[in-house]
Amino acid sequence: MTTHDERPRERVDDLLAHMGEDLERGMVPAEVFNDKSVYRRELRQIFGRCWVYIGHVSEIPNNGDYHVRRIGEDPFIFVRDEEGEIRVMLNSCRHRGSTVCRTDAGNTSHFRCPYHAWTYKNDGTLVGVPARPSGYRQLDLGQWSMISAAQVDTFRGLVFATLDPDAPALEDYLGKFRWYLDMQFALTEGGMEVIGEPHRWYIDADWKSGGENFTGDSSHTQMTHRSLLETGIASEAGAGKTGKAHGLHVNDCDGHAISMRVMPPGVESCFNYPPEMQELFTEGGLSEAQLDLVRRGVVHDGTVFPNLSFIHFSAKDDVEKEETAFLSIRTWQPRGPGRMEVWNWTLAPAEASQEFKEKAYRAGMASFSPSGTFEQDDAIVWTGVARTGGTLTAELQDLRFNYQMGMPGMGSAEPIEDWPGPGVAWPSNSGESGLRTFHRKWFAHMTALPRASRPSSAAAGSTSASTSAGEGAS
Amino acid sequence: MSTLTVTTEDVADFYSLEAEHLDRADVTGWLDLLTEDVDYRVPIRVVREKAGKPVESDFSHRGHFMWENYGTLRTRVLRLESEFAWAEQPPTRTRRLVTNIRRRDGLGGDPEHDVRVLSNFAIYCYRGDSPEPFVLTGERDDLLRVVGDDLRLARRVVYLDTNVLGTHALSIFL
Repeated sequence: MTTHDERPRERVDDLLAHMGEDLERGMVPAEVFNDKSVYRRELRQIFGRCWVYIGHVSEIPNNGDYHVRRIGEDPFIFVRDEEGEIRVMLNSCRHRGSTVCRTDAGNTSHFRCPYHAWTYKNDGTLVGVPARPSGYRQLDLGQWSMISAAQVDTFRGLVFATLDPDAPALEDYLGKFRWYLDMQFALTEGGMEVIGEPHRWYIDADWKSGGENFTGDSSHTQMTHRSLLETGIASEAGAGKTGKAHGLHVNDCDGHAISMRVMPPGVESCFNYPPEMQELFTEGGLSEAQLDLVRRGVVHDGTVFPNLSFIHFSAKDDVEKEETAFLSIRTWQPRGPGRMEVWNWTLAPAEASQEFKEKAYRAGMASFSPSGTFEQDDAIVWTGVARTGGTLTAELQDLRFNYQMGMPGMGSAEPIEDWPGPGVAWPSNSGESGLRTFHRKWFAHMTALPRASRPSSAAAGSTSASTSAGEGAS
Repeated sequence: MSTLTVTTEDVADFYSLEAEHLDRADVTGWLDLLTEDVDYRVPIRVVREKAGKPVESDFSHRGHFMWENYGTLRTRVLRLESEFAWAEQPPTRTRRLVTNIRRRDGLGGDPEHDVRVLSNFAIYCYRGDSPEPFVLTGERDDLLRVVGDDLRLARRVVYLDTNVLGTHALSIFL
């Protein structure tokens, strides 16, 4: 077994050796956005340990409904079994590893491998193996179920899974950040509902560029999304123009962070939800402090570490029409060094009319999707970050990027002392505290002791038949 | 011109003119080729088990990469004409090839004014200094309306071959 200390030294070790100090000074090594050794370490240390978003319960309303998803680069099946239980299982046959589900989505009672026809119930139990009487007389089917993620749990309709059996409970992993997630996902008694299938698209950019941006990169809006201000497609308040709405950044919330733009106290905005829907928002169980941030809300965007982000916003698909509220959630899936696949879903309160859900979908698609007028330009700027991260110059000059905006001595704002919620709240858009939270969490996971592989589990399927048959001699 | 006198050559000429506008990044000129009640959609493809159903069953009914009307297309054009629409600044260099044009007379739309046409397309997209294009291919299902002596696009459904876009962003019209 290879231990942490016995690994040959790689570039990622050099970067991590000085990154703690870099973060203290508000800097992040450029190479973490595009380096093979960083990427390989991330898959193990981040995606092998953290709770990763899989999908929403409303995507699999019926028993047998399934979608294929990923944890890191690993393919999983997200399915509701015949008992109604949600399963997250490696999309791989226990016999010889071939892919058992080769579609994006559907409904099925069984998964049958196209290689040798090993057949599993949709809860992963092996129920069919051809030629059992002549070839597998002592095969214990119970020991050859499909491989599940180590833990699967749901919060407010959001299904997460982790490969780490020793990871803390999901509730503890989300921690105090649940206070902010409630404002997005528990507005009404019925919670939020996914509309339609996800958008999927590749960007030649690192997954962390999406994750860090959504924690509260407020200062990019004025430049990256300037076309929307110039044309009036985005409102001045929504785009963060000074004086039109208050900027709030909340960082260090158990490793997660959120940015909010809200109207001044007493001024309602409520993401432009229609009045009849706002009336339902007292039914979700939110506290008065949470409801106040919702009622004044222009935009809330945040990231659940590592790669689930959300934006609760309103947008117009037609410059001459009104804005419509929507909630977008997305995962930034790693697909190689400096490359990601984005998955994007648009949501609306479950109680909303079909007409409103359609409007919300179109507003979300028009702004945050591959064709979205906001998102198109984000993708372009993030490709440049990965390009720089992959340069030889970055390595030779130990290039660091600047994350100092709003740091002590830099920013004029002070944390809000009587902030009603968890985390550290700043009354300003002029800061990158959420991004620093993201990278500190990343650093903590990257430098944590790796999980030992478990030789016992790998051998669990072997039986006495394999040794007594004496095939090894032939 | 009436739907009875529209020839396949007229249809091919319309597609060539449309591609010329779009490949020359003349998106305003392209808008003039649409009817004001245009319905323009790019549904998301979902790979499912083959069930012997028509092409539509492979696509989401609710999920779309684009789902547009004249007002939303005009809004996208307005943005693209801003000098700060970074996804198209500098513009993607595109080349559209439209082939396999098939008339489906009388199947859909108002037969007195609309001609239904299926066609295949390939769009080559070059960005930055990469010599390798992104290629988007698929089938279009259009209603072309006879307006005076011209044709106008009244409805388009774009059936992309891919379920996952490889293009950073969908900042061009298909």
